[in-house]
Amino acid sequence: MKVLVCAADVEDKKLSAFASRSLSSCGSAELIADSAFSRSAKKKAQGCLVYFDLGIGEKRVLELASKIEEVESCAWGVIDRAGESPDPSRFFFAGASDYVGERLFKAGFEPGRLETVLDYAGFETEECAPEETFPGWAKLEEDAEAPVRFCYAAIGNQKGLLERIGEKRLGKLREDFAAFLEPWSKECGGIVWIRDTAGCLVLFPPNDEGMNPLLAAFRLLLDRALIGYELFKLEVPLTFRFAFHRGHTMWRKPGATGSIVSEDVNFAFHLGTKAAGDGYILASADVEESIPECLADLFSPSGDFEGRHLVASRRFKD
Amino acid sequence: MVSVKVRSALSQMLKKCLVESLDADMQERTTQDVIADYDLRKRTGFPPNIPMQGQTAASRIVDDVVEDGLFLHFVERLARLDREGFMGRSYRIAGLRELFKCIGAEGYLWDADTSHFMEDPRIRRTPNWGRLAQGEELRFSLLRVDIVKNSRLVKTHGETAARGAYDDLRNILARVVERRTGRIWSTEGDGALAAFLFGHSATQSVLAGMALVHELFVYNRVYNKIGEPLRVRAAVHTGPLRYQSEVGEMIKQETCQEVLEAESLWTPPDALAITHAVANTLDRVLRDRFKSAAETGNRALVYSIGLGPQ
Repeated sequence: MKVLVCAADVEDKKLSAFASRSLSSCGSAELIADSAFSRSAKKKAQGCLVYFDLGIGEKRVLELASKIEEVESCAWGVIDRAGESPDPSRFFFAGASDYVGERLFKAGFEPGRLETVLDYAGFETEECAPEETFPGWAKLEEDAEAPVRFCYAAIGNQKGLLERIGEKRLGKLREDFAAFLEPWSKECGGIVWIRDTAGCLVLFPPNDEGMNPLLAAFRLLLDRALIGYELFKLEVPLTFRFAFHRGHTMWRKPGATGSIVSEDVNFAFHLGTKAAGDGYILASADVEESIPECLADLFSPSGDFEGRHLVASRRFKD
Repeated sequence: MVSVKVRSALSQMLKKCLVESLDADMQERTTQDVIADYDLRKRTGFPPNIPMQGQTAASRIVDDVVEDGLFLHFVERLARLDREGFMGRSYRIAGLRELFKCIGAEGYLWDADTSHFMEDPRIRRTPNWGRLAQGEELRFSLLRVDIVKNSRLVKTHGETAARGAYDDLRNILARVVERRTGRIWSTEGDGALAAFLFGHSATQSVLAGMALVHELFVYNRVYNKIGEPLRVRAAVHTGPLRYQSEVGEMIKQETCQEVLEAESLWTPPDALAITHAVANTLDRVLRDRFKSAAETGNRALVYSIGLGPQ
């Protein structure tokens, strides 16, 4: 079961946190820009519960809701986190199945509430296993298994760089890049976990906490020339490579990961070091649902690797 | 003239620097580089046959440069004298470091690339960087941005929606320009003009233009609410310009005309064009990002985002 949250700003941290905490217990919850939703509303709403953030305006909510009123197996609700609507019943008269007011938004859904909404809206729901909310890296239990999204991130064309800037500067560049990834990953709720000689394995929560990490990686690829020149002071071209995978791992703090044996960790490393290439994002199909709607058209199937289907983004031309 | 507020303590400090470092004649000579035809004796009424004390000269000169709004310009000239000397002779300006520190405390930063003071952007951001005087001629780099098919956007989506998109564009532009010590001089109608003076100004303006192209690419995919891409043409040119607080006055000057021409005639949508005057000053790693485009008649180089297959 997919829940879409249609909002003006898909990087809205509060909305994103609410979606992952309250709306993902029966499947996935994803933020989508109202402009992107509007373009193919009927297709996108198929089989989904759609929440419209009232931040886009009541008129716009009703306009988008009218676009999906004839879509089968689809229902919608409203998130009014500021308690702005003087008469929420207007949404129900227009066919809404739920209204999330200011207090409920702050408190989050109690277990079972989403199922009640789906039931009310006429969805056939099986018992949903409540997905555990991500407690944050500091609160994860040591040695316990945790669901995560892996991202292997590295400087691209390191052979070429070795020839052009030398071993010493390449080593410094790798250090700088790893330091750069710390705040970068934090923006997406992530953490730089393990470093190897060429790159870093970054962990992200299983659902978005802040900016979507694939969108963040896409932005780095887009800005690679500026980052290389302005931040790393390079006089030669710079590019990156990214490989994403979703799976589980035993949790240990960075620096204490030496003895971890995990199929998913191995796969993420292999994907990043053996399969990924420069200037684009490679991802295992498990991550596909994490690809934000606004970038979905840039990804396509990219064969198999170690028994898993892959998808890859288009490559930025230099 | 710009009104750089100069506290009395700062004036006194400058007077002390002058008295301790230069005799009256050299003080006058240095002032002439800032105020043309400056005649110390005419201003003080001192007869030519009576030698003037350094203290008297310094007092008059500092009062005059402060009144003319040229305090920072004069200190910059002194810094150059300290660094390069004059006519083969070196001059050490006593207390210059302390003077710089006090000017810094007043909200000005020293730009080593241009040897000019500029206002500290953390404190304020004004179109003249808090120091340019009317008619002051310097080498600027200009970034011109124009929205493609502006009228059709308004017609199709309504004025409110289009204005919302333009506001977003202005915010993006302010972010990419001011981050690189540039200033937005005008955002009239469907276009905008930003200027760069400090640091390596041509490079800064090109980086801002590239960042704008990138930001709009993401904006159109993620945040754009009008339902169709907001497309712009951006162009960069560099050249001499006499600063005027009225942008309309500056637009008539050749450097402004060239950047307007580069944007309107040679720039495809969603791209940044740079003139050869700019390209020639860029480091190769940036210069190589730009391609010659036949449609520009080889008068400009063009940068745009290229997405190929995997």
